[in-house]
Amino acid sequence: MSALKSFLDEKVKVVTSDGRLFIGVLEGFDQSSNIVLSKSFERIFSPTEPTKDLELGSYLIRGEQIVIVGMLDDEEESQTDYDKIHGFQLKDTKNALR
Amino acid sequence: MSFFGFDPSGPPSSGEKDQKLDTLDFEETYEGLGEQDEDAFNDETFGADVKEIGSNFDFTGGLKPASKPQTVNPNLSYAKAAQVDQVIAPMASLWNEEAKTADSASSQPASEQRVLSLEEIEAKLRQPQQQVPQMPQMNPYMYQQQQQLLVAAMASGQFPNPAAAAQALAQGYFPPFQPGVMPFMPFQAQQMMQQGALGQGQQPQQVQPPPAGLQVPQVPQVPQSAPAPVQQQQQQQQQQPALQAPQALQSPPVLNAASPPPHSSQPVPQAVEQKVPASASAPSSSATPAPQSVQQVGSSDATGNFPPLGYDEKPRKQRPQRQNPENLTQEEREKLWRRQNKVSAIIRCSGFMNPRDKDFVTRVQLSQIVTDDPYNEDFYCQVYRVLNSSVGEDDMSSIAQKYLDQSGHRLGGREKRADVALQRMQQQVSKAVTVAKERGERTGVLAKEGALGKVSVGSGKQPRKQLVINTTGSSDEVVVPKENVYSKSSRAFQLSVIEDIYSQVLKLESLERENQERDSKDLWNALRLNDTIETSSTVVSPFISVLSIDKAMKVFNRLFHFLNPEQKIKLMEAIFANLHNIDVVMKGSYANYVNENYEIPKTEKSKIELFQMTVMKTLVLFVSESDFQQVLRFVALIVKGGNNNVLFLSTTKIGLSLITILVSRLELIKQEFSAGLSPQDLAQWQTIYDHLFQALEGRLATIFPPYLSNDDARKVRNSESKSDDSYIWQFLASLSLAGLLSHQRIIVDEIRNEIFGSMGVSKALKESGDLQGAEKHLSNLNLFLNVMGLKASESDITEL
Amino acid sequence: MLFFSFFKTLVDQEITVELKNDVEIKGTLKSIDQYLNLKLDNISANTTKYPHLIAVRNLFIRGSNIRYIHINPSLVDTNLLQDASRREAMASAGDKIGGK
Repeated sequence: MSALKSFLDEKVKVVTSDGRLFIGVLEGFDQSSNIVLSKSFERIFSPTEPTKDLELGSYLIRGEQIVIVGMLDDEEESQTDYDKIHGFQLKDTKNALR
Repeated sequence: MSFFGFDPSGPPSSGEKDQKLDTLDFEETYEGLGEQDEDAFNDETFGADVKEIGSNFDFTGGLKPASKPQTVNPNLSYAKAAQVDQVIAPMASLWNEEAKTADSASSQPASEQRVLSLEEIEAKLRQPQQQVPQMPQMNPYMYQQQQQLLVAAMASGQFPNPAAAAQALAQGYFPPFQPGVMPFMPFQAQQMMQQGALGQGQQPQQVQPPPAGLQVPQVPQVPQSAPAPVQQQQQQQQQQPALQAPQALQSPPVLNAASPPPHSSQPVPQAVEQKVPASASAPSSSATPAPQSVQQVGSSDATGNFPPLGYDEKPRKQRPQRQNPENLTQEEREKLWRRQNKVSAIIRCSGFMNPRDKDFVTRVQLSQIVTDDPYNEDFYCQVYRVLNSSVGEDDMSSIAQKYLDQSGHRLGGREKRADVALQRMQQQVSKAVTVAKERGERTGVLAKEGALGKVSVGSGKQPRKQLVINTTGSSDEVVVPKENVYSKSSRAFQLSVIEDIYSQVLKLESLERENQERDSKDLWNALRLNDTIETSSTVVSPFISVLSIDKAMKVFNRLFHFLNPEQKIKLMEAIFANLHNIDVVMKGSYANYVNENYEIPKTEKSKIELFQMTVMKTLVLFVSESDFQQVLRFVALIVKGGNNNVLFLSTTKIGLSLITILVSRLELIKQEFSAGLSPQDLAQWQTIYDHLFQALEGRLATIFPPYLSNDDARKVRNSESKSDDSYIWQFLASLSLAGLLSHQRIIVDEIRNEIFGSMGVSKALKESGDLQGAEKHLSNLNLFLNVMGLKASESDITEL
Repeated sequence: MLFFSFFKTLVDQEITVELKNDVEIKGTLKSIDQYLNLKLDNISANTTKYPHLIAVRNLFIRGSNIRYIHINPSLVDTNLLQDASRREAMASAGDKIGGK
């Protein structure tokens, strides 16, 4: 968990257990990996339509909902044209193995 | 643990560390706030029925805390915990990467910032304060933000009352939080209320600290939420400091029993009182026109007057922007709004955790990891690190070195799959042959008689009785004993026998690492050598029946190490006497697989390999240090022991190898230390040898598995045909070495076809260009022929 | 603590993590905690199908959402692991080994 410490004050991508993707600045966390994001938005990918970003503001995400917290490489991020990127909705983590 | 922000490089008690630990000492910073368990206004604030106080904040996400409380040593303070971790090298090295950043982040503020005592805060409050009265003139958004800071600051427990907090904030002062208070707990609480995800009665157990350690407060609950367990009542009283924040918010000026605010601070509480209803009654998302509104946490009813989350370390930065909104034009106001929104978006929540907060989290975690028993809980890592360390053996801790020495762990290493036992046997046989040769040259006794009929230089110089050659009986007939079949339940029994042995071995190994007295009695009893179990065909002791199971083979060397000399001998004798009841020995005979083209199943082959690397290695080492009489007893047990069928054993690789080892050991002793042997010893050996020879005589060719045979009449080709046949030649060499000329003649006569077959193969290999293969065949053959003073080439056999 | 102890020995090794949402992420294990939360560096994942992890190199994975972790067998000392399990089993059965 304290692995999150190195991400503090950095831009992170957070994948939640319902398959959503949040992007924001990691402001804090605790030992159950509850996290607080500021300047956050949700990014929605679609196989056909352009990528959408939904502004959210500050967000507290419960630790048990968190799948991944990844540190964002700003340079690579800025070079990516998300309008042209398509993708599938991530699955949630509740799907038992088929 | 560097992972947790401590310097892993220094010794545990280095000065820097001590200093750091001092700053974390709860007792020093706590100022005795928790001792005031009387709060006259508690009922007024939360309602009279304290049982209503909810305990439903579940910071563990409804899961049981990952660490069991009992694994935390209650006598271990966090400070100690941090030190303990220094001792555990693998843990420390693990987090090295984070060490530097964490260290620099946490250590500096600790020394620069200091925690204000109540008196100091009070003194500050008494000073006239200029900036605070400006607050009411802030625009609503700014005010809201200021409120957030205020509440967050108070919730963090640093300020005894809102006045102090507000003042401190206004001064831009942000003292480090006091250990023992989680500054952001209120946010979680709010968030969870909003989500309606209220875990009933679950305490955040994982943050329950040791008695002498830090106190993590329960977040105060409002009466409307779910009923709380009675125990909450007590906890609530212990948590006075934390409770003060919300209390103070609801009626700030008078409520704070811990530190009555002086009159000079009146402007601040007034400001709070005036503005709180505004922000509380209207959800701030609607009150704030900001497009990216703060995620609203909780209605004002449920949370008291908590404003939305977030506080700012740098509130003063905004101050220059502060203007009276009423003096602005509509356009300017919008512009201001936008700018402020932008600024607030940037600074919102930033600095959410100060270095001490981070430390607190890591210390909580540390407390869960720390154990007073690292070798039980971290055994794998501890030993693995040492076993696999690239550091030289000198650097190994004694613990792991001993562990390594006794365990078969390294045997499994890919590159070290050498067949240790067989190698050793080969060396022994070669040595015996060499010694015999040298002695023969010295004494001129070397027999050069024509074993093959080619060379005939006269009779041997040592007259011995002529053996009666038994030529009856087909050479290929080998009696296959019935397979031992155990019932299912006895399989479970076998496994439990093995696990018992492991338990004893692990205990003894632990004692050995600690250099304590060891008693092998329990281990010996666990072997159950005197016990018997009945199988379908015989009665054996449980240990013999389990010796073919992989994990029993693997533990053999380790258990053998702990036995006393008598026990070792007893165990060896039990094994030799029951060789052919050992499953892995028995199933290794090609005679079991006549119908499968003599193909030994893969699983059996790997078992045989494992047996050679484990059990046999130990046996060979023991035999190579045993004296003549002892080895003789072992051979006698094989040859004359009622359980063994020597002819059958000679068709197994393990059986043949073991006989080879014993016989060659006897011959080596005989040749090198003949002075130490009595005539009785030699006579006894002669008798036993005769037994052995008679058992094999006439069927000597059967020791060649058909797939390794080069006798055109017997040979069969399968996947094993290319495998090494040197163990057979070694057996023949040691058998010849121990025998008389007459024995040698019989041996050569019986395997004549194999000798010439092997020469033929060697010739064919040479012609096809495989010089190495050709040479190998010849050298195996010559190991045997050299005993009789002969030497084979591809086409000829000559005298040495 | 057995698994925590075990995974600590895999630090700085490359592993592949399969998550419960079917995403597979390969990377170098940098840290692990007692919840089996992981931190991976230099990750690679299928960003064509799921672009979610574009521009992410280092990440934190919550242990509770991991389905499998693929490990190079040569990194596992199974005999030692068995002994460690035995010690834990003995400890939980009240037959705790006091020493190292």
